[in-house]
Amino acid sequence: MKKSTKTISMLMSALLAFGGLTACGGGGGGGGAATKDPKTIVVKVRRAGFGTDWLSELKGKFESVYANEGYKVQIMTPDNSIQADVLLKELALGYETTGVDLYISSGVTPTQVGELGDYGVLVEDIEESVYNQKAISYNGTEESKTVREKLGEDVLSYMTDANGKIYAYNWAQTSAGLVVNTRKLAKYGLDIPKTTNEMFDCFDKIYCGYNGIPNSVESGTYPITYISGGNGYGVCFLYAMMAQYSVDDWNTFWTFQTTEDGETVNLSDAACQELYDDPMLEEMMKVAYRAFDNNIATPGSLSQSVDQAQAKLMGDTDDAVFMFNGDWMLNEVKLNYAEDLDDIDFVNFPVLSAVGTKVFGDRYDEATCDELLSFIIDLVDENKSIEEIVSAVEEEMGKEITEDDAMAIAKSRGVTYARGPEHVAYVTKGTSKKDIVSLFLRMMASDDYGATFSRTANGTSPYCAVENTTSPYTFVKNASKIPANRYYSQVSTFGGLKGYRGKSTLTNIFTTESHIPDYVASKSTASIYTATGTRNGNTIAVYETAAKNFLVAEKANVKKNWADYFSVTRSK
Amino acid sequence: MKLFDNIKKNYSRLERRDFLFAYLIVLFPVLQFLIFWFYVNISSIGLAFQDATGGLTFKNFEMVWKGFTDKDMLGVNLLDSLGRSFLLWIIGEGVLFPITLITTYVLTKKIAGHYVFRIIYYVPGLMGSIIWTLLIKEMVGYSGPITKLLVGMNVNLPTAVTKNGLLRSEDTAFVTLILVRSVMGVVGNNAVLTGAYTRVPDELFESAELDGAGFFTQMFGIAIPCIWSTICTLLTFALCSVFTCDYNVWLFTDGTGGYGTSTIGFQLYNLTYRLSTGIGSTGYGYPAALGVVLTVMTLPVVLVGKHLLEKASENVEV
Repeated sequence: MKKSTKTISMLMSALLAFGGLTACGGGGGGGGAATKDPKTIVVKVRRAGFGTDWLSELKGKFESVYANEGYKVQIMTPDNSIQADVLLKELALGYETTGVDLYISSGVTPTQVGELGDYGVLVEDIEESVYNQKAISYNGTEESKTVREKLGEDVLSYMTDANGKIYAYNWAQTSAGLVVNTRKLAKYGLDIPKTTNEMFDCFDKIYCGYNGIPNSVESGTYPITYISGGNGYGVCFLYAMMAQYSVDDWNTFWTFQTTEDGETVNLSDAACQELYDDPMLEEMMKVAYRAFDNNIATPGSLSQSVDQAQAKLMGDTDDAVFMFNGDWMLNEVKLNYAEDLDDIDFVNFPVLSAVGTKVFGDRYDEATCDELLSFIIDLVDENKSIEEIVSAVEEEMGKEITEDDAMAIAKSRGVTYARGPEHVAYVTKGTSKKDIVSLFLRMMASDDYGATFSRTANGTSPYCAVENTTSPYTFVKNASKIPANRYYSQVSTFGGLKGYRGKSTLTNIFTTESHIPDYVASKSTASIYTATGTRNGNTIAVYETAAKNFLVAEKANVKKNWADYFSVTRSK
Repeated sequence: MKLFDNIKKNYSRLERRDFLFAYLIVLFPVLQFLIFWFYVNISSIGLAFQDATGGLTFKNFEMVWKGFTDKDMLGVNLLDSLGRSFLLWIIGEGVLFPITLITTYVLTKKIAGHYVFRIIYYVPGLMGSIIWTLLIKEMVGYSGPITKLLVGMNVNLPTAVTKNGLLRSEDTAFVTLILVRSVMGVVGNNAVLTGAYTRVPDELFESAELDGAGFFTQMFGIAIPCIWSTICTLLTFALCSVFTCDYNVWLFTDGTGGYGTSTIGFQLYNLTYRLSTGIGSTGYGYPAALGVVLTVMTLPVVLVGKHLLEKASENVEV
């Protein structure tokens, strides 16, 4: 072998080996090496939409309160990739390798890092050291409530693994909902919709033209825009529709074939197939066919990214008035649309009009049901008590309703499809500084911190859901009203679903179509509109028929292929 | 130990060090091959005969049969996807490859501006496929230059195209995919063929020129026979790739494979993805069985094709 060839080969090998080592790295993370100081906790955070200003402020307060003890916080360079599988694999490297005491991230469930996960227990159980202790305020004193009491048992279930161990710490509350460009909506003289019928009425007027503004094809302003392909925003809307229809049945539906204790039960084939008869699904599908009718969406909705969709909501070219999104959107558009942030508002998803019919249908016609529904939603949003709602309906509408009726509507309005439970923090297994990390997390559950998070991240702390009255943005103020409402409850598919159908979601429960919004938008021909901005003469029955036919075909496919499903899906 | 003694006796210290170096440098790819090819393939063959509980079953193959003859349990017709893959392959190897042969030859003859053309040829090859796909996707989007150009030329496009682009209409999506594939395919083997062409001695062309051979006579009579072994290798690889190339359908269609674009390569990925994230998360058997079936279909084609290609070639020593 020639010397020059050998030298080149050696160099190439060294490069290859170096490249391989670099690719395998990641344990150390950014921001230099993790300190070995026994009194300094090392925190690694995913920046995401909330930024990290809140963490820097919390660090300052924590270090100030525990100055005598000498406790400090080292924040490693925020890394967007630290989430889901990446986080899981970094946790699996072990504390000795990473030196990180606390990960503040998202997308890894407690079961994944617990005994039943692929790597065994990777994190510390924080039930006793954090959740059963009282929150610590910025002056170092304990608050009156424990962290557990502040979070609530509903959310705590998402922080718990399948064996009942509480591993995760919830660090943000976020809700999916409807983002409205109020500047554009005002031009049409329309109000923000509170029921799905009101929303579709807005869609209809915007698309066909209203208040002196021509139809969408001529004006360039369309009712709605969405993100193409398998994006989750549209699915969040559909989840919310299902939960609104019957929030009490949400868990029962998604934990099908599972007892309350999480044990799997074997139901008959017929019972399994009956899942598709649930009225929750049918009502959701009816709305899906209408909401994702591609005629009323902005051009490009079937082939655009989240940034492009948000640009259409904010901008004025091939633009939209509404978008299914979340309370995180303002942070995402803040940089590029600093001057236009007052144009947008955030509200919970409009309540399924079928809820009104379900509650009042035995006494009133459909139009009156929706009128009552809308009226009660206003009162719920104003945080009125059930008694106040009942009497207001009687006095102002001249209609008699029961407290149960009012509560049913209040629960439907209060339910939110939350992305909050996905925002989890974990204390690394084997850390010698669990006590200090626990103090840090207890301070993170304080009301003081809630104000910090609200001010610096435009978000809501899950431990301190209060209405934000100081934000300069209407969007943030109204978004904060949702979790602060007395009827607020959240549903999520994060980690809490267990049992035979434990991994069922809206993207796999239907066997022939994996993503309902994309399927409807790209393949459905059911429409009451033409492509030129007018109505085509059909009635809304076309959407209902399409939904029914879809479910009939789906059930037929399930029956036809039941043996096949069973052979590929039956768990060990 | 006797082996080591023999080596010590027959080779000098320097030669032994060279051998050791050579073996160590080969070790890494061999290990890679064993883990990422051998183990993965053996494992997937095993999966094809397993149900979700690990028991022996032929159910997965029944599902593949159903997928080809009717629709599988996920509502997918595999025959449609297979047909599209085959059509794309025919176009790629039957039309585009000969065009590449000619264009690359023309460029190696150093026509005026050949450096510029060569760079234009190479740039797409240097770009990552994701960047390339995103660029194309934007170009054929509803507000992209190609769609705008077609509209400007008064081409009667379906409404779905003017609203969401050429890749979002059943009428135009697959045709667009073919055209996109054509643009990308023409530059595909340029680097390899350029290398092969430049190894053909200039004397052969000079001598042919003196005998009065024209440009294309030189190409078909001298250049192509001289690089025939390279062509055979490329075509053999192409035979293997008929079912595995998905032509970036996942990226072009945001993971849906809709609008009549799904290829069998896309479906293999799509089925694995849907079943792995689906109810129970244990359903790799069906896509594994599909992989085995496609291998069985491809194997005789590759073996016979390779044999014929070798037979057709005359080993030209240059």
